[in-house]
Amino acid sequence: MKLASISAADSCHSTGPNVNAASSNGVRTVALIGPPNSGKTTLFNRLTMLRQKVANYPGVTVEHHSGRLVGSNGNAVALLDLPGIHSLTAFSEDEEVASQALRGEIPGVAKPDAILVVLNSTHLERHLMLVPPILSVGLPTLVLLNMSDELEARGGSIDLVRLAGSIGAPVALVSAKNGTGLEAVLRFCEQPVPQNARASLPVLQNAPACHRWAQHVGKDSAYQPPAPSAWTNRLDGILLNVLWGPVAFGAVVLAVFQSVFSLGQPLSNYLQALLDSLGRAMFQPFPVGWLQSLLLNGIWRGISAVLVFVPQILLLFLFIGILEDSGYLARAALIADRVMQRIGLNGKSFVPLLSAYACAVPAIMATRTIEDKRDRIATILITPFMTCSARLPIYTLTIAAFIPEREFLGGFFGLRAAAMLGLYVLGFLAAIFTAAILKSSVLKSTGMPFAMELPEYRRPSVRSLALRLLERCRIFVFSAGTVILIVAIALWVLTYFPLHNGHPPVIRESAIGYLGQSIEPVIRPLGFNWKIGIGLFTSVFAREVIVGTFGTIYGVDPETRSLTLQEALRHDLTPAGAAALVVFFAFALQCTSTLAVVKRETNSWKWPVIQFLYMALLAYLGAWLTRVALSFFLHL
Amino acid sequence: MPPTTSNNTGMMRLCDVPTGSKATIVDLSLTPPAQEYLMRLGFIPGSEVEVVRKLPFNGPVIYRTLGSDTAIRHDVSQRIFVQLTPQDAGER
Repeated sequence: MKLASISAADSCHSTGPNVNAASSNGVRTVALIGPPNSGKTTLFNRLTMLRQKVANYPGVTVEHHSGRLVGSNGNAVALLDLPGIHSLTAFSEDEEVASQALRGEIPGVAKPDAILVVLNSTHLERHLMLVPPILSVGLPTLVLLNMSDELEARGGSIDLVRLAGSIGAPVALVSAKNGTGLEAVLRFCEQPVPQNARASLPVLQNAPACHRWAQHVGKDSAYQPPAPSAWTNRLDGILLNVLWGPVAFGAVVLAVFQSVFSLGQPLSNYLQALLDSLGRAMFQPFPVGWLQSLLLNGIWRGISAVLVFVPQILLLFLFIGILEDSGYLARAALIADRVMQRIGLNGKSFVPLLSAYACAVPAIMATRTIEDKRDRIATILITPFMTCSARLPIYTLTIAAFIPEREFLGGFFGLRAAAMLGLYVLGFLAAIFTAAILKSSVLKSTGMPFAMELPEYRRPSVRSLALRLLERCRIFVFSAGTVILIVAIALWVLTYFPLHNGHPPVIRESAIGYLGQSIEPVIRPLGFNWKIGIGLFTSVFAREVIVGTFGTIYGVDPETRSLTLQEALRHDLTPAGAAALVVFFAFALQCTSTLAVVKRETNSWKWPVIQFLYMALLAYLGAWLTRVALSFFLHL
Repeated sequence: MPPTTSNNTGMMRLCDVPTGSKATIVDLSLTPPAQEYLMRLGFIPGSEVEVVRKLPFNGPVIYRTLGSDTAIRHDVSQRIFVQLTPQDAGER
């Protein structure tokens, strides 16, 4: 019955909009599905170029890509990229979503009219096992054997005509990387060919049955698997060697960290300076007043805060993209696995956590390489504990103000450096502690064993990398950017009102100033006064903002006006209170961008809210304990 | 030195198969979802598995099943039971 309705759709497709298409706009929808490591994303990007949208499926963290491609006769076709899966058994969120999407059961997502199954032609013995459950959906299906270039290069072969015959569906050999064989895909998208209903599929579709079917089909079509990649074997001999493996791992990790930190950070600072002067140039001509202030200190500040993250996101994703596409990321995860296992996570969490030392925002976006949803959420939740670069301004200011420079070991190690290192360790310990709690309670593993597929080493394709980089930046700017902009405007309102005689108030008499003063009783036990309180409020936008806020507050306060910022801090804080302040910043999630990205990546406000409250609580307790301990034992 | 065999039929745990050797999978002593998941990755009873490389310090081990490489942890491979393929007959 399904087949009949599809062929009816086919017969009228050339005369106008397809009436049988499920989507309201009359465009044919084709679903793209395949196992992980089949080159599905490369194919999707190749077919749609940048005409694509990314969103999350309602209620789950699984991402939903849809794009447009123009068929051979010029008609548009909507292409729906489904998550990478091994079967439709719904053991994982990805499989559940893929299975529902194929059946058109997800609200707001068009029911597909046809399916493209992408398989890696060099791994057909394993990948063919996905074909029976997909064909059982009953839609016209084209089976794509991807990476044909590698199959040929390594001496593999297959008889396509016999394969199509024994599968009962059309087959095409393609290379998404080189763009060969794609005409067949476009032709199929234009005019899907119904399956041959007589082809025999296994009745029971568990793994052993699908395997027997795949074996039979492979033999029928004279599949000659390619020789194992000699390159891969040789490289693994070095990169996974007892001695050289960890050395290479350390070198790669250091290179990534170093470049995000020492290249990304200055680039962001430079961009910030550029955006600042651009903002002044654009809005200075406006008459002085609320409009100019809103444009410059509210909207433009929000836009700048979004854009300054772009260099770091680009850099980190460039490196992760190269590592991922070359095949090394999977090896790195294996090497890191033994250590990460101890905190209940797996090796795939290592690179995101490390990059969080530069900035949590790209790091959280990088967690999408972790397939296990619980591990991914646990990693996202602990990421902001890593000492990111935005904490450095308040750390350096406080340390410089309160800790005398004293050197040990012949100038090799200083007291201030030791304090800084201590703060790094503190954040790291909080992360481990939190991971251990999460993984033994709410995010306990599903019992699915950790398994890591190891792709062959490949040369990354510039084109595919560039497309992914652009896509990531666009997602960040447009979805996380909105939240950041809203918070920037809200903060502006809080600092600009209530007006005094038609003028904006000094910060102490602004709404945010009153907020800072009203929480003084709460933060008094930490050794903070209302000025620090205002700083805690403004730094919810971004941690580094607190230094600027202190500058403003102390600059207008007659008591501290003549002092430098360091002296002003010493005037207001005891050493124990200062220690409490940096401990507070080590734990608290004072970063709107992180919250916005967590919301985007987990597709709900639940996790960012829990994360914010948990970290605030930990920050408060940590700061309080620090102050009490220091003033009690050391009389500071 | 010789791997521990559970009885004289040559049944042993996958984690005890030495690097470079091949074995035939007999049984996966895991929960049904975990079984199904590993089978989808090629650890199917009756099919052959080759130990490609072991990572140091009891880290994950890379196995070749159905022509593809997958690494699993020690705690999983010790619950997979196999029949060792004799070395001289190991060549396909």
